[in-house]
Amino acid sequence: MFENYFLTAIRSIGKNRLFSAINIFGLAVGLMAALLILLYARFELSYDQFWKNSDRLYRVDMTFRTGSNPLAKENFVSGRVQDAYLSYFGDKIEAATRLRYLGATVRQDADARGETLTWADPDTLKIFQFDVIKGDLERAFEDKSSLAVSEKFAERWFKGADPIGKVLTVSTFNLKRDYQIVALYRDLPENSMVSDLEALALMDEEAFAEPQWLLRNWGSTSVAQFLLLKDGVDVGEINAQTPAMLDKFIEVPSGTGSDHYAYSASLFGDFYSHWVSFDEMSTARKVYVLLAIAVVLVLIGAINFVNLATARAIRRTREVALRKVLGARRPQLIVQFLLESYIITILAILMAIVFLELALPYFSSFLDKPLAINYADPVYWGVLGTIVIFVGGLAGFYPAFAISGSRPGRILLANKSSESRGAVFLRQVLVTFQFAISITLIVAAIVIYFQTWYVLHLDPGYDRENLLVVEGINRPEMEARMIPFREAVSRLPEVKALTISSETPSDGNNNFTSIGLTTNPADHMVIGELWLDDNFFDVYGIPVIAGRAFDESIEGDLHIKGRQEMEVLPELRMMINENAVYRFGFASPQDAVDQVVYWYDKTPIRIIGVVADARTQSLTSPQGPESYRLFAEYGSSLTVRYTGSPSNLIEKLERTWKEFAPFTPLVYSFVDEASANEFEQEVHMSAVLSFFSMLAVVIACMGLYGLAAFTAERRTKEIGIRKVMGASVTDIVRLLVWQFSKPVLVANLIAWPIAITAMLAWLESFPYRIDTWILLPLCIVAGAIALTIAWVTVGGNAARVARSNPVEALRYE
Amino acid sequence: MLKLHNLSKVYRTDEVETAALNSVNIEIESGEFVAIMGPSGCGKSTLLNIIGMLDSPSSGDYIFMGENVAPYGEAKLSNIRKQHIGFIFQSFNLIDELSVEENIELALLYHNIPASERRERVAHVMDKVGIAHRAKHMPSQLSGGQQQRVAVARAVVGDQAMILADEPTGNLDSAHGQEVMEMLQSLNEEGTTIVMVTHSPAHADYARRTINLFDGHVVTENLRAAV
Ligand SMILES: Nc1ncnc2c1ncn2[C@@H]1O[C@H](COP(=O)(O)OP(=O)(O)OP(=O)(O)O)[C@@H](O)[C@H]1O
Ligand SMILES: [Mg+2]
Repeated sequence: MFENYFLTAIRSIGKNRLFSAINIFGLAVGLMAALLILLYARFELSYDQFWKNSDRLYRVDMTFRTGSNPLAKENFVSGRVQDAYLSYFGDKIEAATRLRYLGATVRQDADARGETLTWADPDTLKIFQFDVIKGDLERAFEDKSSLAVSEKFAERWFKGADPIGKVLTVSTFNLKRDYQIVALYRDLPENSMVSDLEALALMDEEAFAEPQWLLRNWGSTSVAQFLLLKDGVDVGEINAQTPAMLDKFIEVPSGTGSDHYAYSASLFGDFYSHWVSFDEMSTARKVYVLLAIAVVLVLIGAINFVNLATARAIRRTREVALRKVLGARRPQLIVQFLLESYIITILAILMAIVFLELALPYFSSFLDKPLAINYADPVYWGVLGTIVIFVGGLAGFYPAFAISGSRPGRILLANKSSESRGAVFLRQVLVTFQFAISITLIVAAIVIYFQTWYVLHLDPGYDRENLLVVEGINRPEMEARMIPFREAVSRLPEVKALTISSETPSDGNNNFTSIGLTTNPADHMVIGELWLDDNFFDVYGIPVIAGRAFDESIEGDLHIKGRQEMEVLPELRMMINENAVYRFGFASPQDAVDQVVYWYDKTPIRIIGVVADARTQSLTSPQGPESYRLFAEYGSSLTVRYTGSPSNLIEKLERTWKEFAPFTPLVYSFVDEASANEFEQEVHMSAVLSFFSMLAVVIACMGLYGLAAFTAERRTKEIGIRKVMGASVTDIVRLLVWQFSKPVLVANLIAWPIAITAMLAWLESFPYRIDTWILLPLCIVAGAIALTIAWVTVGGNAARVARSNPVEALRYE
Repeated sequence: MLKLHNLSKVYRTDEVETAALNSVNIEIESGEFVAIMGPSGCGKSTLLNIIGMLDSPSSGDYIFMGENVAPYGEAKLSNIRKQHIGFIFQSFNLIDELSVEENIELALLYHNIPASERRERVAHVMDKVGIAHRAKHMPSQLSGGQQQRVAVARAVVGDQAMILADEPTGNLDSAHGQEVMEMLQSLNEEGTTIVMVTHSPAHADYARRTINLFDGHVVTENLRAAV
């Protein structure tokens, strides 16, 4: 019996090839995209969920609070806060550790390379679970000369040889010591924020005492801080008492510790997906946006299926009526229709899995995530099962119940297969819905593309071209030779000009201090702080708009070190940007020149010049005030303005660098590339959205094509009659095309307000954004694209039908 | 009005060639009422379709109102057709999705006639065939006879000089069939040329002349004695 049903179903699917193909393919493409997004979402949301005590494992972040303007949160915090937590909340904390990532020169015999090592507290082992392959991980934390390394690290250094017992010489800042490898552990999973722990050593307070920012400075972002709370401890309580803790432990020249800093602990498991430093979209929100798109794509495919199934079912009313006259019972017919629909859905899912396997390698490398289908994972099967039941049922439901329930007498008597107006209307609504979604996605893709383009091509206020930055000239092995290195580089023929600075525009300034018009800390504001030499503004091409520029030959321009030890605080000098002029409350740049303001420790600073605003901070946050000090010693990068081919320059730079720091690799970047990288996310998002909106449009159009073909077929008699009545081919094409334009036009009316609202909200998060009026023309363009595609889809078929001889259509009834 | 000279129509399907019409010579005067009779498959519908320019002959001439239309293409034929010829079919061929009124209006839709005039003319013919009270109904709500009356109204609303009717009474009972025949007769009396295919000798009697077809040939032409 069942076999018979099955055969009939297969035959019916085979007989209606066009509809079956559209259904299966459309659904499969939608499902493929949905599964892909699901994989991605699961990966992104799985970060750090697997730690043993993830329900009470917390990571701490910090916010600089000085003054009135709130600043970005930092996920790296001071190396001193752990002691504060432990002594203030000792009874509530089970374990605590700091991870101090630090670049170091690692040497084994003649082999020397730059590596990032991690110095950590012993509690690390109580907090994170390592999979030890060899050796004893505990031993790594017993003394200050043992090292535990990951497989990756070991492979890099020892190429498969046993690393245990090997000795590496590590030098960074004041630390220079031989480390013996005592343990080898498996690489941490990629879906962890600490997956980059490649080499672990015990924290060394003495060695890292200087420079202060390594560990000892409250104002530095030095370590990743983890707290494992005791069972049943409420983190809210701890966070509520943290300001009091800061007041107790932080000594500041004025005000209280909590005036200057805010600390907060949040679940490590939520950290990757929810933590944001500024206004940007959190990972979780991005994932939700993508999940919404996934649902929408499946929906579009499913709508095709439902539409075509119901449209086709009408054609089968006569068949069903005849079957009933011949004695078929209703349950049998219901089973028949549902079975057909389920077979199609299952075929679509199989095809989707094949598509997905084909597409995954590309997506994994594009998204830079190791995505793979885990066939043992019940979640996927659950989702797939739900989709089969839902989509298959939905598409089979109408024919199964509505048509099998019709009375055969009426249908055979009326001798026609006209549809109820309700069914036609429902189909129009669904098509409208599909196109509304497609148009919204097209608008979103175009807007994101435009916005990204706009920011990338925004005038940054400085000349971005032909600038190369040599990074890390403040590394311990270079720091003392920074100035001679600058001299050596300046002699290279490709170098037009060069400058040392503590930050460069392209890496987004992350160094801040507080300055005010009075010595009262309440009047202070947070202001960016750059240390530079007197070539900086020339090299970057930032104009001085009031006062004068720094000059190393003018006495008093240079910053004075060690002022705290002096009896009277000396007067320092600085330059500021235009934004700072207005933030301080000066009427104009001219008014700001020669004014005296006060640093956080009451040191007076005279403003000697004002430069135009250049986008030296991240383009994803609004440009803030900046202060500039003349003191190359605090610099960390050397910016070179070059002529000619950059590859020549790099070659010569490498050679020069080797002379100064033979064991450290040269790290450099191009300013224009670096600022483009900042928008990598948006570029990715725009590509992903374009891809999915294209898919949506394609699937929707496939459905439209099927419907158009079906309608044209159903209307052949009508078309024949109209032609007999004198309608031309153009009249007929117009008639058919117009029928399908209506839902697309209505879809525009629905999509535009939605798209505009959504994109306005999205653009809100950009301080520099395209004019919003442009959204309307973009909507019109998207609508036109959708309409054109719909016309092309329907038009070809309509023309073919319209040209056929009416006699054929009218001959047989 | 029209003249067929040595007109033939051959259908080619795969390997089989069917000569539906074979050297047919027929002349029909303006204002005539002609019946075409013959056994099933003898070529009656084919002949009517060619006269109605829905199909083109394979060879021979077709002089319509002094013009040889045999070599004309579809667009040209369509133009002549919509000006001069109205159709009535056995199975009515009304559009299910349109109301009675809209079905009739269809015949004027492609003639560049303003909407107000169209409405007037539709109302007028509906009165004439006695279907006005059903103007807003859908075809499926009408009886066969009523549907055929709508089809007649549609055939005449454009004031075409000639009406071609392919078995207009084939799907109707005798009372309704009679009704339709009387309508055709009165149209003929008003001057419309009518060419009608029928299987019913009684209905053929309404015509002044009967052409008998057999296997694509005209076999006899009987003129009914003037009453
Ligand atoms: N499109 C076509 N292709 C092939 N052969 C055709 C076609 N139309 C008609 N014929 C053939 O031409 C011949 C005449 O057909 P036609 O429809 O004119 O007959 P008829 O006299 O109208 O018959 P009936 O009384 O059954 O309506 C038949 O043999 C038919 O099979
Ligand atoms: Mg016939």
